[in-house]
Amino acid sequence: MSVDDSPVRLVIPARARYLRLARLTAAGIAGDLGFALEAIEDLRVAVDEVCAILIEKAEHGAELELVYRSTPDGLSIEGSCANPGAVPEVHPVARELLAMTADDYSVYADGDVVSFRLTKRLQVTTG
Amino acid sequence: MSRDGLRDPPVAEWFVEYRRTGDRRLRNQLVEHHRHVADYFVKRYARRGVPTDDLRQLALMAIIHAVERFDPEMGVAFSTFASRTIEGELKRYFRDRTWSVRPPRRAQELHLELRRTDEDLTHQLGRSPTIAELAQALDVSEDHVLEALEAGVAHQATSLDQPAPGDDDGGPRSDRLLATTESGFLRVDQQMIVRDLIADLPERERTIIYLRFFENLTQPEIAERVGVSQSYLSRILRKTLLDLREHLDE
Repeated sequence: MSVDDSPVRLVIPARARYLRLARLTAAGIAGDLGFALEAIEDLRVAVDEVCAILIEKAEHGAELELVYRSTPDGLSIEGSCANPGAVPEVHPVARELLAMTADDYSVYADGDVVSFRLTKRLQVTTG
Repeated sequence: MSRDGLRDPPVAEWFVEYRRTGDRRLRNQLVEHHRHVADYFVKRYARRGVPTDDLRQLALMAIIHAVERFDPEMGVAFSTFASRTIEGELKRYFRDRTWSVRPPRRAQELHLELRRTDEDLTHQLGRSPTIAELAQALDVSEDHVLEALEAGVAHQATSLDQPAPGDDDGGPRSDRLLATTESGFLRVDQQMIVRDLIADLPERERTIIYLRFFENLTQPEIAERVGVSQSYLSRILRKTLLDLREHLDE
């Protein structure tokens, strides 16, 4: 399956019940890119977890904007959400989950906007 | 649980509150509080030669699932419920490790089950079931139900659909497995048959088929890995493939 390089953008209300759309989009794109199922399952957990951190203190009516990009070595996902206040604190359990399921992630704030960036590498197994 | 004696946090209340709100922070708190249940199983299974990182991940995910699914009104202690969940997931892991066309219920397979369950529930309820009801009946997440809905006949089962490692043409593995008999496209029902047939093979033959077509190892590599002669190996491969074709022609 060929994958063109246009990023996929998704904007959803910053509420937990909409995170499913973020997960399903990630799974769909990762599937297209040839990720193995196990990696896709990891990715869903990671996306869910990091988005949950971002929207934790979001005000009613806030939106979560996600951009999914295929990169030379896999998939990168960026998200941002208007979320006044400091960078959300990442709970140890969430940190551990993310360490297990994402190759790299960061959560940061810029003014009133909190963002994350997460990458998942496409594992190439040599037979 | 009275590990902390007088300082016991109101865990029962946390559970009730978590079920009501789905608050992620509460979930994390509950997971952290019951972490020792997972650690116990990690220690117990660590001696079986499984990488500790894998075990830890598995146990952590299992305890999270347990927290997410635990209903305080069920009348069992959470530690009992969690132990069952963790033990179940670890056992499945050990089972899958020997034959790792992994998760048993992929979207495609689930898609077929979904139709059956949909019919049953429609009949039972007198209306079309919701995603939540389907998920509960199938004991999978709602995400998986939605994915299964997507998995139409045009798609192929993921496990067999992914290009084998090092495969230049990127063709599905199942196609390659049966390339000499089929036009290169397997219908869902045929995929199911192949899966069932492979699952029914004796363990050694299954491993051989797996290594050959899914891990893309060469025959000498497989012979060495499995500990059989190359001529025996090619006999098994030939015989198994003939059997598979025969069944598919039926």
